Amino acid sequence: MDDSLSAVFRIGDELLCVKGHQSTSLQPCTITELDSYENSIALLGQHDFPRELPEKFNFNLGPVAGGLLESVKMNVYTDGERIVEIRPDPSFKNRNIHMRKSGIDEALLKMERVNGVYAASFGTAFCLAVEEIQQSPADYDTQLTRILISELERITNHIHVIAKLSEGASQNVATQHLFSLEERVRRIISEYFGHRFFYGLNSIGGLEREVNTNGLGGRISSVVDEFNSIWDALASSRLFLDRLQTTCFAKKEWTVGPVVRAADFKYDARLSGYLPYADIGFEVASDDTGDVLSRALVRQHEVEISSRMIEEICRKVRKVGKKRDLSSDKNGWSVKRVETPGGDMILFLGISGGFVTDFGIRSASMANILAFAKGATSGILTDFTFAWESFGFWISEMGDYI
Amino acid sequence: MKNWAVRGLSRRRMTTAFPRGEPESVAPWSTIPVKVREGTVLCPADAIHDNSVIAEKCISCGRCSDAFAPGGNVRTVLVRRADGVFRKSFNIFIIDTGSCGACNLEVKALTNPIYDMHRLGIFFTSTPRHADALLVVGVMSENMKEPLKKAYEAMPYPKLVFAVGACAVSGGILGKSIEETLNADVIVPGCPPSPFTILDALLKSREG
Repeated sequence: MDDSLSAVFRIGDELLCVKGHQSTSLQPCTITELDSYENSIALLGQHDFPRELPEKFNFNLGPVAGGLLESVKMNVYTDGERIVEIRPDPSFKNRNIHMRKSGIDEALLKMERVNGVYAASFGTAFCLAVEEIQQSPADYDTQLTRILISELERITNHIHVIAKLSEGASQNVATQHLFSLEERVRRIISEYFGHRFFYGLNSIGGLEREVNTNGLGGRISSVVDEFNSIWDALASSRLFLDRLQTTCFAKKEWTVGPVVRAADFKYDARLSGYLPYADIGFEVASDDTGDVLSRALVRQHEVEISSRMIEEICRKVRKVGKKRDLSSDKNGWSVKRVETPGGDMILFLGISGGFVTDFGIRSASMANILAFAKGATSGILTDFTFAWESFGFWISEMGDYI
Repeated sequence: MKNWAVRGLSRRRMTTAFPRGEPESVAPWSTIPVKVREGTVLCPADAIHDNSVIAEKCISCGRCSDAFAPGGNVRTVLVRRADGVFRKSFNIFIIDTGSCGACNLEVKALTNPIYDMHRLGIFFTSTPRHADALLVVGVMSENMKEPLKKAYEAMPYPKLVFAVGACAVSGGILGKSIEETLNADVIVPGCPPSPFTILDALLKSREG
């Protein structure tokens, strides 16, 4: 029985937690009880690392530095070239997004912008939660289209992460081929869905824009073929593999997404059936080493699986019309666990009178950040880039909500 | 090595014809909408007044689609101050003051072989001390005010500030504009702005 700690939400004065890798049920808990979990500190956002490390060199990076895509501060303690400890501080770009008291549609648009790179899956999670509260699930074709956009998002994201790993290893030609592939997918997405990041597409009860999938499956399949051929060429480079292999082990059951699957735990929120993944041949990609190379291999395999699912959906769904349903006035709360490209995201949402009353997110980056800090420790400083990029963190999804 | 060389040649030229030619691909809802018919519109960003869209506020959500359609124009930047001294070489430092990540990726895309900003003499630099321009993405988060001011102060003169994306320009629907902390010389609207729009802004700011 998997009872690892997955999420903690503070609702008023009460602490509620979600346990395991599939559950969406909330249980009351106390701070004392949470302390028995290895990852509880990260989930509560209270990084309680020792302050003094005598005779160690403190190497600070960020919050603003070349090479960092987002603002984050890294306090790195080194002994020679070896990393003794890393304390990531993601609080600099905390936006304190005002979710409570927002109207449902406005909150959906804000949700997409919590992490713009995962807008499709964040928007889907929000819509599923509202539809559950309102007891009016979207029709089957809309559900399949939501899988379609989430898997396109996964392909784009995984290509980006592998391009960043390749960039870190100075494989510059491969890197530029991968970044141009990422751009190709973004252009395909914008052509079919009207926006390069799926902004504004999801809607309560349906989709905000008409979607026609004609020819989409073939075009994505061609991109994925090229991606695989670039990956094969990269994987034949000993220089590239040497940087990835045995770097930053993360074999923790409480991690999520490609990180946990690369450690031979076959956890994936898509197995829970929040959308009809079972109808389109979904399978879980996994590996067993738990290092940077394993995480890259899982991502490469997931790109292939996503491409196959996209082709299957395009065969089943040709056209989906515009539809929005905000007519229900039901109140209540819902917990949704949705697999974003970085791992499963848990959303706690309460609505009353058409407005958001309670809101909380445990994002994949929040779940994995402590595993990065532990995994990168005892590695060498030049491995830092590979360790960081292999987790595919987005600092934007690690903020607070009001 | 042969493998990579053959692969590169087989892809032929992939770099855009922009700015001499028109953009090959534009995401419709990343461009500022224009009114095409009568209809009920409730803009969540309060960007629609007198039947037209205020570019600086538009968050590209498409909720106005009952009456508005994408304009398709990527050349929507507002240049308050340009400087011709940067015409030959232009070094940019990016700072994220509270973005969702999308603007970061669109700015980063400028270095890929498709946009290839290096062909136009534009480069990213990893320190503000070497930067001619500060490119700011995201809403103004409280904890980033100090790093933003310090980065600006560290830059040599002459220097320009770009506000990139609806969040940096107006605060969008998530927060406050960066202009409460630093005045922007170039306004780049969009949520996120198309890489073509960002490239257009970088080029126009060198025309002074």
